[in-house]
Amino acid sequence: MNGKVDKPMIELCNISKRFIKKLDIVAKMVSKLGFSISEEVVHALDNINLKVYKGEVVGIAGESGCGKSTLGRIVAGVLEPSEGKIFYNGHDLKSLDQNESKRVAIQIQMIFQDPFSSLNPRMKVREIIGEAPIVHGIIKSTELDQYLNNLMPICGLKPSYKNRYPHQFSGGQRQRIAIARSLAVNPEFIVCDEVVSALDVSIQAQILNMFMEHRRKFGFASLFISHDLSVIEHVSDRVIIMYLGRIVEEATTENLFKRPLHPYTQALFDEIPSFKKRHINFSPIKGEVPSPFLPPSGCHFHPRCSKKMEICRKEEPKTIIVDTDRLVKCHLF
Amino acid sequence: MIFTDKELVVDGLKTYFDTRAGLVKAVDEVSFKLSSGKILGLVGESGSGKSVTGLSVMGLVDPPGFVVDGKIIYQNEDILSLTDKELRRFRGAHIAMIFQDAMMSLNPVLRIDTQMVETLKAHQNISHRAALSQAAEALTQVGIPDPQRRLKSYPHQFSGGMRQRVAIAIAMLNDPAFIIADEPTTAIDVTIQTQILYEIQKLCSQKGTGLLWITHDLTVVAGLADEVAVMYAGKIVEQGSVDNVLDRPLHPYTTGLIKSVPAHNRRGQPLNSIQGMAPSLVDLPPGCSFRERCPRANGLCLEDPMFSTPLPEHNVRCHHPHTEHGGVE
Amino acid sequence: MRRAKTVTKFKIKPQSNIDGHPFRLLTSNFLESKTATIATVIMFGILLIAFFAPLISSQNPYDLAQITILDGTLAPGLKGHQGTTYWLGTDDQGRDMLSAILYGLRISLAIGLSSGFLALIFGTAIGLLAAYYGGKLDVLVMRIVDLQLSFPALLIALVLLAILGRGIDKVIFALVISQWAYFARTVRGTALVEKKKEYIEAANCLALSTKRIMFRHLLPNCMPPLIVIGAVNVANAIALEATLSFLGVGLPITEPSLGLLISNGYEYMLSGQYWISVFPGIALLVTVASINIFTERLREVLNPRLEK
Repeated sequence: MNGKVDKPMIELCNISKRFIKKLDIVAKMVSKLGFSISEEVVHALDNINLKVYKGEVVGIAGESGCGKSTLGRIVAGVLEPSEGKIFYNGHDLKSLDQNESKRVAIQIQMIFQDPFSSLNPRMKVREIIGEAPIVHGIIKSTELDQYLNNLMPICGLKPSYKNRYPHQFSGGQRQRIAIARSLAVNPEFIVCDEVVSALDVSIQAQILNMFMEHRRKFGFASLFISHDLSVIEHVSDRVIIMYLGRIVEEATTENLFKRPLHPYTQALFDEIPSFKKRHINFSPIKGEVPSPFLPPSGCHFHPRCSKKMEICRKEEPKTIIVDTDRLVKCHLF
Repeated sequence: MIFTDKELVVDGLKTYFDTRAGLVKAVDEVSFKLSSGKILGLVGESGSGKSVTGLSVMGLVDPPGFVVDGKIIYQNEDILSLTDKELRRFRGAHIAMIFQDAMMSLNPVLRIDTQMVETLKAHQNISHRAALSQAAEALTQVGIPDPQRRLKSYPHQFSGGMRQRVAIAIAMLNDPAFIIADEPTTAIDVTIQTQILYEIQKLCSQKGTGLLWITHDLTVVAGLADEVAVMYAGKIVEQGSVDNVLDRPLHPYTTGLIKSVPAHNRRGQPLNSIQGMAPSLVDLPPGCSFRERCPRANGLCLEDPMFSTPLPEHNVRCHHPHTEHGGVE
Repeated sequence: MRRAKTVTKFKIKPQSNIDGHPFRLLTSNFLESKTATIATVIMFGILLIAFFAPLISSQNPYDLAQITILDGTLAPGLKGHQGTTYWLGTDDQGRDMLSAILYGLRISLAIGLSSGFLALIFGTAIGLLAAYYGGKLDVLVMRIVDLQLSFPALLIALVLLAILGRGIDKVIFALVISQWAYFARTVRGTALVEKKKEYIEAANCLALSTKRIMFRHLLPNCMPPLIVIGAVNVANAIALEATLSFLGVGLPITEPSLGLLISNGYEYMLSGQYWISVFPGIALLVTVASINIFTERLREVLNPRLEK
């Protein structure tokens, strides 16, 4: 399903994000005295370009340190990018005034990974879900009960749970409350950051089904972040693979899983334990995942790449359009 | 030393927790056997009791938890009847444990070499120098480069995957006959997981160590294990070789679990899921614990099912096992 | 590992109420310690007595019309001029010690509670702002806190009172100034931890105002350590005020707290008229001790919070 309209709903242009561990006063003094202490910089995101169209689900896959969570948080407005622009329905977010900014912020919601810390332990469920709609005038406080009675069953929660506290629920139920909280403001875009990773397989299936049902019903677009490729394959229309802050491959789900092009994607797919393979002789990718403080030169993946060439060490590969809707960042193409 | 014919038999293990909320039957009559060189996968979701089983075998269950019944036989001794002192001798030397969080095995304020030497000296009578060289050797065996330098590091200077490998190295130091691994790769990325699985597999085949791999991830068990036991609400509900259990599952829970893996479903279609939630262990329904979620339940299920063996070397605890079909989908 | 001696050790307890407000769970945990329960009862008892002092005590010891010097320094249990029994004796002016202690408790507790409360509000506000906004504000505030905490509270109070003079409002002011720093530091620490949690990120995502996030989301979750520190501080304030009064710089003689009573009777200790100092001293001891035991238990109960 590819609802391509003229403008993408969300567009990220040249987004970079650096986390700098600033020197404290002692370190500053020491460095003035001539010792070389430099600030530690993590290049969490490096020149990201991304488009998400109305109603699309774009899956983002990659391992820890690839920057996918940072990317999700930047899209959701929880983090500010160090460089680059974000466009929402064509409008540069920085150019909006305060009121418009707030309206846009409500349209982009986020659901987090840890069901145990993403709900305020001291608020009742009715307050958790109902706070934002009331504050933003979506509903009146007198309408809250009715609103919850409609919304909660859609998320698989009994309306009688309204007056309970988060600690009285299981992980899966808390995740449902988090989902209800996001849906309560009628967003057009939801960032899902590893929302099922902390859940058991059987609950995971329930939550994923609910997500797909909601998507059909409400029509929101989504950025679905996960390290689990089989989950990504199941829910996404398009998939983006990230490695150490860069997008290395982008394609429709079908194309990507049928024929991965980037060596990292290929290695990743090889490594997934498949159900059918028994008594596997595990053969991991050689080498360690590089530290984000010291990314390798040129192509970040070159130290572990089985197909590396001389140029891979020296130059960062350009993003190449291989086909319609297919991008690869690799010197092989 | 290569182990060939050691056995650890767990028979009728019951571990209960006396909590404020009531009596929690975390492990309710669990029996299995670990053998040298073989890998048993213990599969279950949260609340199934799989972790407590591992802890019970190691003797790490603290009040309000108590091992209430059962035997754990190793070398003709019942481990559960050992005194604390004897247990300490047994633990670490004959059987070791790896946890989900490597920091449970590592002391954050001690260097790696200190910890490893300490472990070695606790069970063997060797010199400091010999211990250090064994420690370096152990690190090489789990694939950590530059072991001499790494020995002098602290745990926080390693990445998550490497810490787990150090934890494995420590577990292997005294050549245990058996290792219990409690979800060691759950919080770890796929590529690092593969590295760890590779190391473990290599060690088990080289040294003949028997392994109990506790996890909720069926796909890892599929690739790694020889035998599988599926736990639900404190009991083992199905047990057999990995081919039998995964290709021809008998218990409706196992079937449901296998079917709900995304890889087994068509893209874009709703996943097969098991309806409902796992029961609270304080408030178990009478009869079969899976009854309320089972599509095949009927009046018979009000009685707790016993173990039966409908297929050779394939046990199940169910009144309506799937004996008719030849596999999943 | 423990092996249960018999299986019948486990009686099936009735399902206790784990649903419901966290408060109820807390209270039932708390009451499991007998010592703490007794201490709490004593503490609340003292609070009640102090509150109702004018109604309970037989005389108002500061109403000159009610006391007579003829009844001065009577030992405990003796009858006075008009036939009233002075259970705890009288002081040199003829004041009934029991009444004096009751009134003294009243003042001590009033000062302790009000200064503790004000220090809590002031300290919390500063700590919360420092944690939320971070940066230079945080650094500045925390250096002031560090500076303040490096001086003994007594010293700060003495210096302030030397400048400001005597009086109940000045004493409260001095106590607040010497106490707010504990709150600020504690709140800042907790707030920094809570700030990173995802429910705060979610609140940001929902475009809630800063004020709302600080007071509705952050503050309630910083409360547990605050309650403990607040209670500890009340005990500290009471003891501190007693010290100040004992030294003669605290409250004026017209509003004597327990400290002043102890100080008054000090000189009579050597001549054997112990009751003028000792009984107020015991009252002070019991008050502070019961509050401390209460807060110890509270800290135990609040700390390993069962989150899951």
